[in-house]
Amino acid sequence: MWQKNQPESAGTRLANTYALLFCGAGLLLATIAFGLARQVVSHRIDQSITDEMDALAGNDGLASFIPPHISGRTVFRYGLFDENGLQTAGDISALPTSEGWSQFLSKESVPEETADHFRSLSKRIKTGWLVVATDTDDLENITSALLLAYGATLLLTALLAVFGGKWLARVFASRLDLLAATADDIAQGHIQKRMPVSAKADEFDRLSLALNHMLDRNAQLLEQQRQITNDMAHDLRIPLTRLQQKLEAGQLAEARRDTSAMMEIVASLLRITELENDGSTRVLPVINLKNVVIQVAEAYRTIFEEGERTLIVHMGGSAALRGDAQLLAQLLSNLLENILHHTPAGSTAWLSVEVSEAGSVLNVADDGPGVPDQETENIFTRFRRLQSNRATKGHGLGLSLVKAIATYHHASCIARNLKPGLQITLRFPKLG
Amino acid sequence: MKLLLIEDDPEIAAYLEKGLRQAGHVVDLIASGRDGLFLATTGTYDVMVIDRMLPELDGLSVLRTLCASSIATPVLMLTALGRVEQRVEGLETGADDYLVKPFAFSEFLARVTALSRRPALSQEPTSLTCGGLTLDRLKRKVLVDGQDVELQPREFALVETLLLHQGQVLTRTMLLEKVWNFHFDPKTNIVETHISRVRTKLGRAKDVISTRRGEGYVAEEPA
Repeated sequence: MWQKNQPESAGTRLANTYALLFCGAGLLLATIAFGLARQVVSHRIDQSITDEMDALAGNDGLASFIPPHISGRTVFRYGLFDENGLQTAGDISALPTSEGWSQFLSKESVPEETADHFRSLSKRIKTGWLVVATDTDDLENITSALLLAYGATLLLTALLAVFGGKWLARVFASRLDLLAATADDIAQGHIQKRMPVSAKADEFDRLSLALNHMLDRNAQLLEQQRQITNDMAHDLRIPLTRLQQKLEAGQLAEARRDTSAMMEIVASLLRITELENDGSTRVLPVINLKNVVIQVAEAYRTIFEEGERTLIVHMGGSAALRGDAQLLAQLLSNLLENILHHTPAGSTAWLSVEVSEAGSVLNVADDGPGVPDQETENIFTRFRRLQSNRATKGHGLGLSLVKAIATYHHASCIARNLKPGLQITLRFPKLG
Repeated sequence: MKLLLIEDDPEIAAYLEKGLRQAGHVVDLIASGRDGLFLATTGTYDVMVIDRMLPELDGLSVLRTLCASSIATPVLMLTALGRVEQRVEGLETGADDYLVKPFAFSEFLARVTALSRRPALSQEPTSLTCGGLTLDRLKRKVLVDGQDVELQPREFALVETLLLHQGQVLTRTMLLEKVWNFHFDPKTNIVETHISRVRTKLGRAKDVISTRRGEGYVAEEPA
């Protein structure tokens, strides 16, 4: 049974996984972008310091170039020191401990501002040391701006992923619930119900359509089954009633005849069911259809003559196919008996085997009254007897058995009105 | 004739046993495959009737064991499985004949009798005679009082089969199997029609083939 709000939902699980993946990917991307941006900016700062240093370092009388105090607008700050490390010019008061790049904090220069981060380069020159520094506010600003942007984006992504996923999962679940509820309904006996199909024609609708197709087919089979059971009960009731009457009257020989009639019905049904269940998987030996036709035609020729009918056999070469000779003989025998039952004296029947590229074709035709056009499809249905033939002998299973044997041999079986007459064509697949 | 009947369905078994006794035969009735096999290997029987579906040891296994121990008693196998392949399987395992349930007792008795009289293959005669009828199996000719009778191939096979089992009733189904190789039951009277044709053609020797109502046909010297 399907339960709503299951603790374990494939949709939610999928959505959560996706949310995690999304956030992870976003984080990775942000980290990379952040790192790159920082690197670019700090490289540019270093470059500008180096350039300034290069421009200054070669000059004599450096002190005159360097303003004693920062002007406020100048980007750089300088410090000139003598050999002993004493400040001689500029506003950087302390000589960094080592040559090269270093960082320092400064509050002294612009009191109203908070402590600034500086990056400095110190270099040894002829008269002592030169230090060039610049604040790294830009870097810090860019960094914090980036952090803010990335943080916001990540948060948004995470929210989108989590809630979008949940929403998506719910949408999927609600549509699946709809299908499940319908299936439950059908299982509970509302067999005429069908899966909902929307106008969107999406995958759910395709699933619904496929399921509906299956349900239609099942319903059809069920109906057929019901019909068969019904017909079988009816068809057995007549001989059973007769049997009872005869047993009561003590007519044993006649009673036996009725019993065999019933056994025949049951045996035919069993045989059809067996063939239908069994079919298609068995590997059959290669036989010659021609021999079967000759065998059966030989058995029936006399019967046809006695019944003042003509049987014409036409052989178009030997027709090798994979088959069961006994079953095919029974098939032919049923078709010929059908002709004997349903055609008036003086009729002609034709039996022909042709071999074509596509395989062997067996035709059985007569010039009798045929069947109504709308019935040509139905004559192979179990217990199908034309209303006009209800009174005649036969149990309406002969042609069903023909069809079952044909299907067992992967052959198509088609009836066609010849006007006059009926032709039944069996096409056997080419020997592979 | 002494028969071994291995059949687990008590009703069918009792019915067959009663019928066989009435026909003057001695019957040993066993319900399980294992006990049946024991009796089959220790006793002497003219014919054994073995049901295919048996408790403990199924009919095919009994047959296999019998074949392996070279017991040549003819076996009639009874079964509810009527498909051709299943019949072939039974015959290949060593059954001499096969009867599908449900069957008429007359059919059963005719087959049992036929099995008990089965001639050895080497003794098959080339010429058969009965009454005024002579059948030459080599020249494929039938003579009535020295006169040639024109017969269709199936008609010849029909007379031949009946003469090979002279004095023994052959049922419609047996003839369909032996003469036409039809292992199914056509609704039409193929056998009846051909018998009546043959009788007409045989002329004065037509009484050689007589009809046993409800049983079948038999070839015998006219009374």
